[in-house]
Amino acid sequence: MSRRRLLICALTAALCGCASGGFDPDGALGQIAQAAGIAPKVGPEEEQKIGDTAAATLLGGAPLWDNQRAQRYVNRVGAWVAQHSSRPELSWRFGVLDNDNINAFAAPAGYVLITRALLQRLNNEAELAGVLAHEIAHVAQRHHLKAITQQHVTGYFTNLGMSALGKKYQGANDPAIQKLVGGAKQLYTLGLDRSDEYEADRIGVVLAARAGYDPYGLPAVLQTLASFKADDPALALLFKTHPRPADRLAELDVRMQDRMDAYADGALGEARFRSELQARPPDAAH
Amino acid sequence: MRRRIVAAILLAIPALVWGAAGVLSRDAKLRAEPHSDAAVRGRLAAQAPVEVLERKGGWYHIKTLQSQPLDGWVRLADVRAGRNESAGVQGYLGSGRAGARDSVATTGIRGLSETDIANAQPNFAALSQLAGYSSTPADVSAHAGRLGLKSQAVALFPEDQP
Repeated sequence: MSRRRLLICALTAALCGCASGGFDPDGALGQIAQAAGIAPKVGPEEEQKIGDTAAATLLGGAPLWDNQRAQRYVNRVGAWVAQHSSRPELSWRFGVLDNDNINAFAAPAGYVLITRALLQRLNNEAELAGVLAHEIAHVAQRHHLKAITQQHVTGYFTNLGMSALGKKYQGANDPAIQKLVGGAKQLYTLGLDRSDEYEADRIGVVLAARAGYDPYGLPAVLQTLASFKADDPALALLFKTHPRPADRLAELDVRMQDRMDAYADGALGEARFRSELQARPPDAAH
Repeated sequence: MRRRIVAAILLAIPALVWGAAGVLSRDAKLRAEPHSDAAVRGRLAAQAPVEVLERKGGWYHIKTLQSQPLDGWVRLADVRAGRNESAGVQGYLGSGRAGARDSVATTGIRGLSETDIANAQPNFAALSQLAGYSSTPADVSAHAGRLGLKSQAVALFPEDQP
């Protein structure tokens, strides 16, 4: 056991030294790291490329909702919450996808997308902030990057070569990009580790509280999700990729009761939420 | 009470679970106030049917549905909400695409199903559209200020602290 720990320390030291762009995950060091279960840190340029590709993949599956006011509103709420995360310096970008599935997605480098169907089932700004905070936590904790660099999710990525990212980006037809797209699709349809989902819930409610919201917004959303039938097709992908809402609620409740009730007078923003979302999409003439 | 009446007038469909039925998900203490040191009004059994009246923080104000109903507060996780397809503001907003509502029974879900993701071709042009929706830091702060949002230091849960 101690020899393995020594190896891990040595590798971690070596990997940290190569963190900013020089690391080749396909090389010998990378292979050993994969085998030892260490996720090497992806540099900012690689993260941006992975995030761009993952977000573009989701945007290829559903268009952005043609409601500028709602899009700007969601961005303002999300950006405020993100300022209170451990990675406020990212270019945080939020979007509402126009479709009937109830879901939210995060992608590396600061992308958060939620569906119109989910947005419409929320009741106030604190609930919106809670959902966005959960996704922001995924990005802040690099959960998707960790999944991408761990072999069991992406035989896809590692076999193809993260080093492909170092080559000059040639656009959507770039075979390296196509490979990234495939990996992103796999990730979004399989989901993250369930422990990552619980972690994003815990960090998410803290972020919402830091931003001045009632931190029980996310638990309230989980109650809404729990009220749907388990086989409702609008929730099929969400329920496949996340723990059961009732379990997530129980996990949060036991932790929040002692620590977060002090913040429960935080803002709900019900009136603003309704007001910002009732605007009709702008006419073509405008 | 007045707030609920106003809300009912504004919305064609009731919000969330207010006035909606649920059951207790587990045995729970019914408290007089939404505080964990409030007096216990009764002990309720799992599966007991309840009506959820309002939420305050992590507490639901409920009424038990029995011959002598009890009124009090339980934790959110103590309640399993009943079927509530009207949740949220959807009735008020309408749908974003024409015909979006009628697709489920005949053609299956439209939108980001597992199949849709599998078939998606990346849309990089949409990324710049997305970027166009973001605001300056000053605008973001001003927007928060208009709701009276104040940043506060809140520690992570112990298991998440580095």
